[in-house]
Amino acid sequence: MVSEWIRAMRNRLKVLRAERNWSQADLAERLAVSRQTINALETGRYDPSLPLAFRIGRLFGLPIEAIFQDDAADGAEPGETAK
Amino acid sequence: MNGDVAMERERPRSAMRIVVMTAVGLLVGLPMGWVVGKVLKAADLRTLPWSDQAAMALAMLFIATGALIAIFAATRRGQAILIDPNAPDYDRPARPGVAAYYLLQAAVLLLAGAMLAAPVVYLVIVNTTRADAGPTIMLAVLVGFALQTALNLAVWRRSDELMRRVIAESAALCFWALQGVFFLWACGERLGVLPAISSWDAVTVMMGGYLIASTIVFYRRGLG
Repeated sequence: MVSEWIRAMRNRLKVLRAERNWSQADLAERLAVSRQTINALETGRYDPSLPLAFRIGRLFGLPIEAIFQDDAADGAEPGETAK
Repeated sequence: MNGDVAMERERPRSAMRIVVMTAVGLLVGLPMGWVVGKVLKAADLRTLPWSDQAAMALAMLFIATGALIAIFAATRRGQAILIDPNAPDYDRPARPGVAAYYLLQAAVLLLAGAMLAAPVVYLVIVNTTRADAGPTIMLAVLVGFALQTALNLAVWRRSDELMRRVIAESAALCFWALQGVFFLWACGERLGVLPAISSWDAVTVMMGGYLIASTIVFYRRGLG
């Protein structure tokens, strides 16, 4: 289980990757990052930088907000826990 | 059916993994054991201060880890295992530069271990035969430190953003924890309620602290 100390966003990376039948290593190679980074993104242990998020969006042909969902944006003020 | 096939495939792979791990363990363990045996024979380590004992233990850990990474990074199969220990096959070629990246990490660990062990080895072995070797060993440590700094910068430059985050968070956690420890200890020392510690004691605590901090961050970021 990932604690609140680390988890900030949910994402559809694993689903989008599976739809294309790519392994984590395949996706990592396409994004020029390590496989561990893909694993950390998919398991919610790491949020990408803005440049990496844009690269992911471009690769899947989707806007960033279609891939990443920010729980904190659902009505919560910064510093509050999302409902 | 598919499960059976998967299990049949799993068996030789697991057996191969055990054989490879045993071979690598022997390759690293035998020379390490020899060195540790020589040190133990040269002097009774139990008579050394706690910080020298801890420094030697940390140094051996760094050297063993560095040697393991270097051995794995030397072959295509080993590189694949380093990249993904659970990969469906170990034949996927690593990206150009990945082997060099792992070798850089191995070199950093080997140098860290050697530099941490050097003063203790000097006190235990060299000092008894060549008391004037101190400045020479200090010069070697300085050269090693300069080289390690350059290697650390190279590792940072080649790391992707997650690894850079892990390095930065480890350093931050280590600083946050140890500045408190050292501040409180220094207060206690000034007030006469705690014994004085040497700079070598402090360095050993810091190295151990960084090892613990980086392990925590490593696992929390899913890299374990």
